[in-house]
Amino acid sequence: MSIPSDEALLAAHLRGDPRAFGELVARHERRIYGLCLRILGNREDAEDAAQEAFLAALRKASSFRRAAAFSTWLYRIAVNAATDQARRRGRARLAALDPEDAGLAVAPGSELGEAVATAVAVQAALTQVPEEFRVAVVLCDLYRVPYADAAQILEVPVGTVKSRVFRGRLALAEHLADPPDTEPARPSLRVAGPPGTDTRSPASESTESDHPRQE
Amino acid sequence: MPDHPDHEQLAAFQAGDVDRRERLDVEAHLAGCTSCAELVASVGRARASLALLEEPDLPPGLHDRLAAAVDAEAATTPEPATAPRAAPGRRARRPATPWYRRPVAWGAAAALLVAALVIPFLNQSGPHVTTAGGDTGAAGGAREAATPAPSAAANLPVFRVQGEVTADTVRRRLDTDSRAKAALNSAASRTPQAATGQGERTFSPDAAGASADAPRLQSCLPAATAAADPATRPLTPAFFIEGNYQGRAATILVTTSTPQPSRVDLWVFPRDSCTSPVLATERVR
Repeated sequence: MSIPSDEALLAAHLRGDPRAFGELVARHERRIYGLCLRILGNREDAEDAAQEAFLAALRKASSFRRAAAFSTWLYRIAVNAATDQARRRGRARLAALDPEDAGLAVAPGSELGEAVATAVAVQAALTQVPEEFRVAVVLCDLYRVPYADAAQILEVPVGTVKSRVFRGRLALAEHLADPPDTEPARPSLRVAGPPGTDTRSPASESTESDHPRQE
Repeated sequence: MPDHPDHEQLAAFQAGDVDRRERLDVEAHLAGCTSCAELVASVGRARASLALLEEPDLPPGLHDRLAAAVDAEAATTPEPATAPRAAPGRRARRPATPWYRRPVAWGAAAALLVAALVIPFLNQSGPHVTTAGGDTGAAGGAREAATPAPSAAANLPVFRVQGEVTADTVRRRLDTDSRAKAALNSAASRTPQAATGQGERTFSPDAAGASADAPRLQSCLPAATAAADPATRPLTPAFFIEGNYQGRAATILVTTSTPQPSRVDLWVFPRDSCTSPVLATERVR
């Protein structure tokens, strides 16, 4: 028995197959939840965002066009759901971080204590990265979405995706080197670098690209 | 050093999509420019640190919650699906995720997590558990008891350790690694009350988050409790270790004791096999 593609399942759903969409949810729920968790940094918001993503996908199912892969389309919906959730909840919260939320990094060869603690620190630092950079890093570095697909998901040029990923990593490096609990009153995010680097505050983040040029 | 590469150039350089000439230019610049070299190095380190983040498991109950939400939403749409509801042949609910590194022990770690869900409830139910021993019936009961309120408890870490695990190595690590210490402390402060604060959500027992490996691991705590000195009961689970114990692949439960909070014990089981009797126990001093 061959396993139907995502696109075939969506088509079946649109023809009235009552279980096709549920199958799509089952296929993608873990990935979409994980994506939301990495973006939002806490489980409760990630669960809400994942639910909203699938409901939005259900509502928009008839607008899916085969120009994109189903997963790309779904990622875009999920990213929007996650960023909407972040706006509803204010800045992404750090309070709910725990080893499990950090995905229990159990890197082979890691020493006792370091793997999980480091994963928590990485997620904590990631949550500090300005949202549009964070989303790009999560998609491209964690979920290994190709830059071209990430450009479709984020609806920005490929060069913008690369730049955001780079700057996201840079901000992540800064926060890893300088975790917030050792310097709680840090006034703004310093994105240091060669001339031409701008300085952003986490509070001023926006989903608008700061590279407005189009391809 | 004139003409630092800008972020776009460095990003392209790191992404590997520069031509040979651009690459050589950037490399030549980095060789002579400490600030750019450090920038690129720190970005590389950040990227490497991301590899520590595994794809998280689906939280218990989320599958059912999503399915219910989708069903409810579908029921309100103007074009209701009318085809007879076939029994869904459960295909791979978790498709392969090639982009995530998947350590061999990942399934076991997921199962340990599920096991962690039940633990505060086991603590809470004290005498019921201390008589439970390590049999599978106890594990089944524990799961049932835990399902109404898993969320606060589902954060028991799993550490993988290369090489031998002994009470001494654990002690040294707890002494020298503040983060390991913090993990222990946070586990010790996780009271049964904290675990019951989220009872408003109910989950069905066969939630999608459960792993097939779960039953093997759910009885770690009852088995440890059964073997424990009664004066130390109830045990408070702190974390799991996967490593070797006297040359044997082992899953090790690390506990503190509710009546004796400063006490730390190791409970050694054959790897992934908590239904087996405790192989060994050591007190960490």
